[in-house]
Amino acid sequence: MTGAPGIHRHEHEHASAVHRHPHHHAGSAHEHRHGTGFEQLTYLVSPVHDLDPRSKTVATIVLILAIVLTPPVRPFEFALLVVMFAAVAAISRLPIATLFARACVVLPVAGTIAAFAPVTHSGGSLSVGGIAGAYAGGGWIAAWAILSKAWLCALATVVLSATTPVPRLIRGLEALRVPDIFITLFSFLSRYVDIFRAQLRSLRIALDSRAPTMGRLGRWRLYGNLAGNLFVRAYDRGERVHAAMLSRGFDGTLPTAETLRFGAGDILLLALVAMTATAVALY
Amino acid sequence: MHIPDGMLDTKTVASTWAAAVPALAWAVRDVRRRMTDGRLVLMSVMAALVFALQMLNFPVAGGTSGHFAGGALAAILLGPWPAVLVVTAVLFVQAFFFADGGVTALAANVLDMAIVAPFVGWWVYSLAVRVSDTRGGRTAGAFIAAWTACVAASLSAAMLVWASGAAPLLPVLGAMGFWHAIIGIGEGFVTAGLVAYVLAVRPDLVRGDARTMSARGLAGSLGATALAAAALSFLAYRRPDGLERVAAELSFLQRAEPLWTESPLAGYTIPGITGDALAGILAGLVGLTVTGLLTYTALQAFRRRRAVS
Repeated sequence: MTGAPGIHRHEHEHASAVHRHPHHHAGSAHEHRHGTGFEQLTYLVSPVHDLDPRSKTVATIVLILAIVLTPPVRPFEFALLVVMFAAVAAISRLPIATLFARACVVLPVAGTIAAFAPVTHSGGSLSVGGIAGAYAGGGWIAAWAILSKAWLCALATVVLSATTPVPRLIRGLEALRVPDIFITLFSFLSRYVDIFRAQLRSLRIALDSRAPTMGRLGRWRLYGNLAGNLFVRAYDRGERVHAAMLSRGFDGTLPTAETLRFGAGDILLLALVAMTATAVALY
Repeated sequence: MHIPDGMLDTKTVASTWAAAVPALAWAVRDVRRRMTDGRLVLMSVMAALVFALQMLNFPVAGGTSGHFAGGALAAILLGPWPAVLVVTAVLFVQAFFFADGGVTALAANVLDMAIVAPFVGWWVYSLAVRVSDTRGGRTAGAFIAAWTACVAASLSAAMLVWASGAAPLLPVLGAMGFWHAIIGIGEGFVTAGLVAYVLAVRPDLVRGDARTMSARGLAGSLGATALAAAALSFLAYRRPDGLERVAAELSFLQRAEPLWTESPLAGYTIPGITGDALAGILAGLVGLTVTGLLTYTALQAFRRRRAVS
């Protein structure tokens, strides 16, 4: 592997799929890290992964607006959207079932509220008439509307987050004029949350291994101490990080290695999404 | 509870964005003015910490579990406006990167969890510290603050769901309030435990940073809360029509039954003034003024008593 020092990207085969990561070449050493689980999907190489994060973000928001604004999604519209997302997933070489399953995280919350709908529609009465009787249709339609819209919108963001590495997504948001304070917050969030999670996990393992007989209640009582310990560590880490940033010439702006290019594919995506969104919202 | 897309109707989505965007703009302005780059980096690391702490979950009942949310904690550690930004950033990342909470519902989630929770939490904590500025007082204050913030956030989420016509008011308020009163205990234990631990280990981190609110601030924020509540009630006053519209459009019902002919604010009309909207706004303003005066009087009395003792 030839390589000048510094960070750059190149493709490589891994686990029977082509990936592309930011690589760091220091002398002859070739280092890179593979993300775990879902994050791994964002480093696949596909036409959709190559699109500009700005157009993907805008397309996702437009699609979600259309789904939210439309009256209850009709079976035809639902099928159209599912087929469209499945096509995007296929072009992106993403496992469709994983995406569909991941979008299901919204169903418990949406389902709870959807369960109210049939009852609500009968004027709040719990009589059978409201659930299965003459007036039931509207209530069940309303429940379906809540569930289907929540799932489809979640699917849209899942496709976005599966085809765009987080640094590129943040870079796109920056280019879309999201205030710089939020860009800083997002960057640090995505950078440090896994570290703190790992620390929290090791604190819990330490607690479990030193108090194997302690009941769950006792353990929850100690959560505050774990959190406090983590807070003190995070505070110190924050100060260290800032000192390190200053020593590297931090001037209040976060530099980025991500370059954005708005190409023909992006125009195609936006045109397709505009047509789909119009069809869903207006018909 | 993260509200997903598709649950809130258009008028609620529009209203929540109209309310959240100015609040966020103010938060950005406040943080930019007050914070040095170093504090900003620290605040951002704290955002990652709050997100990581949401791993702490506690089963509530029968398979469901609640997790730590951290609105009150962020406000106690950083002050309310930075907390607004921190929790907003967490919600944004959850919505866009994890499909947890909707994109159009982001403003509603921001209102509940990034504005109501930190401000209510900070307000309660400040009150507790005013009553007793000891380690015990601050710990107890943190517990009550986190619990109250959790319940308040859930109730405001319930109000938004109700305003959208997705659920009847009392059941949704009751269900959300009941479960979050239980989840709030976990939230309170984590928050209070953290505050107690940090007070024992590094008291400078808690005492130095979180400036608690002045009496004027307490009164002002209560006024703002009352204003928000009035606005929300006014929003609710327009009878939810989402489901009926659905029913009418699909012609599923031969005759659309009015869902809530009597909303709680339906009686809030002022004699002699015609026009529901105008009366609603006036009712809100009158309520606000009365609440503000009562708060101010109470605080004055409280301060005078403190001055005497």
